[in-house]
Amino acid sequence: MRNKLFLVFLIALLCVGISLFIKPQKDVSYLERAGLSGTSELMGTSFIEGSFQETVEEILIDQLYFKDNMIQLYYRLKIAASSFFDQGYIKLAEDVIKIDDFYIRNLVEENEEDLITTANRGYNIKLISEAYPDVSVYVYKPTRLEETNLLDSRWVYSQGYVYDYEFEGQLGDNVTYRSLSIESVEQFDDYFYDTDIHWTPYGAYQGYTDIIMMLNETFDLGDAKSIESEVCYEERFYGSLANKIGQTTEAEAICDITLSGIGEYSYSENGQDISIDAEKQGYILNDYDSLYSDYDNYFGDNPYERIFDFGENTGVNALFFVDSFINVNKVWLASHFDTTIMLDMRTVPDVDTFDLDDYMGTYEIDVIIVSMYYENLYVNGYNFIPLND
Amino acid sequence: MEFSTLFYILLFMPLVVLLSMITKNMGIKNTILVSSSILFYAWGQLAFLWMYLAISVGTYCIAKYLKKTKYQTGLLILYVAFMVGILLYFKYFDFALSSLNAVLSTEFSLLQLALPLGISFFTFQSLGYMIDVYNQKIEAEDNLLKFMCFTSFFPSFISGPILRYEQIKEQLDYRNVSLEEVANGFRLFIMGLGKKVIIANNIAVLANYSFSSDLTILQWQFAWLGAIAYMLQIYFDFSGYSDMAIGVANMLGFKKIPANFNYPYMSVSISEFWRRWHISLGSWFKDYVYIPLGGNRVSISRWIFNMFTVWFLTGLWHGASIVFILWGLYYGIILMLEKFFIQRLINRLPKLIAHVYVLLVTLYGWTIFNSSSLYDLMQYTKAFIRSWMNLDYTYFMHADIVYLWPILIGGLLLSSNIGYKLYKKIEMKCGYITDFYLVLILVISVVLIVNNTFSPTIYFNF
Repeated sequence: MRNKLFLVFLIALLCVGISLFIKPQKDVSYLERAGLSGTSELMGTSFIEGSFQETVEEILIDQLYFKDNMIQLYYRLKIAASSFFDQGYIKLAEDVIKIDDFYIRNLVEENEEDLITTANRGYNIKLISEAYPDVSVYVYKPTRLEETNLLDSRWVYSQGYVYDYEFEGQLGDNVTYRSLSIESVEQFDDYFYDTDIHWTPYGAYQGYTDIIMMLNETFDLGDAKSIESEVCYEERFYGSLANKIGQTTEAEAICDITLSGIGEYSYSENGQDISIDAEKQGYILNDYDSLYSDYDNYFGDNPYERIFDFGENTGVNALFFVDSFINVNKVWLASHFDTTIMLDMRTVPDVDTFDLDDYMGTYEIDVIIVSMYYENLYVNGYNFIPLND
Repeated sequence: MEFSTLFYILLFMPLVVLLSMITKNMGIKNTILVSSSILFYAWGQLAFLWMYLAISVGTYCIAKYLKKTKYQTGLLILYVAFMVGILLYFKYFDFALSSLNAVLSTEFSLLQLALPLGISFFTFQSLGYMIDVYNQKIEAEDNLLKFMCFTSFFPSFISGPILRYEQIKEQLDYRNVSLEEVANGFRLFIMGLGKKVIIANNIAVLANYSFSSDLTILQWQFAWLGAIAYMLQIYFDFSGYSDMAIGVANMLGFKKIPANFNYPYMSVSISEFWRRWHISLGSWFKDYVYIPLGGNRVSISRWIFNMFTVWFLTGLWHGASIVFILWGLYYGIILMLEKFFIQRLINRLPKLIAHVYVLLVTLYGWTIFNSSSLYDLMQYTKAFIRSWMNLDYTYFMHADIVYLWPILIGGLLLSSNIGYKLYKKIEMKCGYITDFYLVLILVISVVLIVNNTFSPTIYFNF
C-alpha cells in the first residue's frame, strides 16, 4: 500500500507539472510586486540559446500552486531556526535584519569606496553654496536606526558615524547640517515604520518641524503648523522590508496627519498641473483594499519635479533636493514658502539637460535644502546634484 | 539539466519513469532511455551534444572493430590518446598555457573554452568500457541502441557515479521494475534531493562566509567553522547527487548500480576513507591506472611512483589547478605515511581518536580543495590558528549564519549512519511515518528551490 501511495505521489507530481502550463496563468505576484512568467512568454524563446529552458523553469516556479505560501513558509522556517539561537535580532535576507518587531536594512559598514563617494557628495554641496553665495544652503537627514549606535548592546554595530563625519567635514562653513535626532530605539519606533525604511507621519512631522526651526534661524517662515487631525488605519500596511522576506509579519497600522492652516496652492508634477484635490487624495491613496499596499500606494511615487505655488506667502522661494521621504511632508514644508521646487535627482529623465542655474534664476531661489536619508545622501548611485560648469 | 529543478522533479523524471514502467518492449524502453538522455543533455548544454553522440558512435564502432583487428593494442592506445586528448583540450589546455605563461613569461592567449558538462565522467566511462573490451572482461556491445543507453545514461551522465558496462548490461537486455523498486528508487531520490537542496546548499552559505572573506584577518573560529561547513557541503552535495542518480536509475529498472558513498566520515583511516568516498572514481583509478602500473606488487620505489601517479591524476581529474594537484598529492603522501608508519598505530588507537584523525586530515584536505590559490591556502592555514587564544564564541551567533546552526548540526549527525539507522528502525515499525517524512523533505526542497531558484551542483565542474 505504501508503495502504491508513492507511485500515486509520483503521478501527482507529473499532473501538477503539466497543469501549471494549462491552468489560467497568473500575471502578477502581489507578494513580490513583480510580473510573473507565463506560457505566453515561451513565444520567441530559443532552445538553442537556452532561453526556452530558462523560461520553462521560470514558468514552473512562478505558476506553482501555493508559491506565495512557500516563500512565506521559507521565511517562517528561517525565523524559527534563527530564534532557536535567539540573539535578539535575525538576519533574514541580504539586506534585511529583524530586531524585535521591526525590520532594518543592513548595518552601515566602513568602506573606502563609499567613504569617497560620501566625501564627494559633501563637497558637491559645498560647491553649490560657493556657486550661489547669496543663497542659504541646508542639509537635513532623517536618521535611520541602522546608522546609529543604539543597538550596540545587542551586538548590532554600525559605523554610520564614520560617514557622517566624512560628509559633514566636506560641507564647509556656509552649509548648515542637521539630522533627525533619535535618542532611543523606542523613539525610532514612533518615527519609523516597523516594516519599511520610511518614516511615519510622526517622524515626518518631526522632520518638518526641525527643518522649519533650522530655516527660521535665518528666515522668518512662521512657526511649524500644528496637527489638526490624525487618522489611522489598522493592519493596512506592509513595508518594503517585510516584502523582501515574504511579508511574514503582521500588517501594521498606517496613519496620516492633517496640519492646520495649510492654505490654498497650485501644484504641478513633471510639468503637469495637478488639481489640489487630487493631490490631497494622492498622499492617502485609495489602495486600502489591497493586501499588499506599500508606501507608494499611500504617499505617492517619486516624480522628478514637483512645484508648489502658495502665492505671496513668506517671500521666500525654496529649492529642495529630495528622495521619497519627502512624500509625506512635502505640502507641509511647501506651505512656508511662496514657490517651492522639489527635485528628485534619482528619477531625472535626462541628467545632461539638467540646469541648476535655470532653476535658481527662473524661480529666484533663496534657499536650497537637501533632504534625504543616508543611503541616497551618501552613496546610492545616481547623478547627485550636477553643477553648471 | 539539473536534478534539483522543478522541470526535472515535476515533469522530466516522472514522465520518463512512468513511460518506462508502462512500456514492455525492450527496444522501445531503450529508445525512451536514449531519447530522454539526449533531451536531458540538450536541455542543459546543446552545443556539445553532437560531440558526445559522435564519440559514442565512434567508441561503439572501435570496440566492435577491436576484437577483429590484430592491432588491438595500437588501436587501444590511439583511442585512449584521443579520449585523454579531448579531456586535456577542454579541461586542461588553458591551465597548461597559463602555467607556461607564468613560468616562461610568454603571452600565449588562452582559448577560454566552455567545458562540456560531464566530460570527465563521460571520458572515464568510455575509456573503462574500451579497456574492458580490450582485456576481454566484457564483450563489445553489438547493438548501438543499447550501447547508447550506457554512454548517454542520463542519471549518471553529469556527475556520476562512473558506470561500468557490466553494471547495466543485463538490464539493457531485460529489465522489469516492480512497484516496490520504483517506490524505493523514488525514496532514494528524495533523500538525495534533501541532502543537496536542504543541507548542502544551506551549509554552503556558512562555508562561503569564511572562504570568501578576507583571509588575512579571518579569525580561527570562522576558519574552523568554514572548513567544517565545506567538508559537509561537499559530502552532502555530491552524495546527494549520487543518491538522486542511483534512485532514478533504480526507478528505471537498473538495480546493480553500487553506492558511490558509504559514510566516508565514519572511517578510521584515510585508506578506508577513500574506499568510502566517491567509490566509483577510486575503483576506476585502481582498476585502470594503479593495477596496470603494477599496483603494490612491485619494488618500493616503483610502488611509490604508482601511488603518486594515481593521486596526481586523481587531483588533476578534479580540476585544472595547482591546488587540485596539491590536494591529490596530499592524499598520496598521507596514504603512504599510513602504509609505512602509522597504520599500526592507528589500529591500536581507540576508534574515537582514529575518527578524529581522519576528520582532521580530510578537513585540511577539503581546505586545500576549496582554496582558489596557493596564497589563499596559506592564508587559510594561518587562520586556523590566528588569535587562537581568543575564545569569543559569540562569532558563531552572527546574524548572517545563526539560522544555519540547526542545519549544520543535522548535517553532522546525518554524515554518520545514525540518521539512516534511525530511519530504518522507524520504517520497520511504521513505514508511513518515514514516507511522510520523505514527502515533507520533498516539499521543503521545493520550497527552497522556489526561493533560491537553483544552484549548480559542485561536481558539475568536474
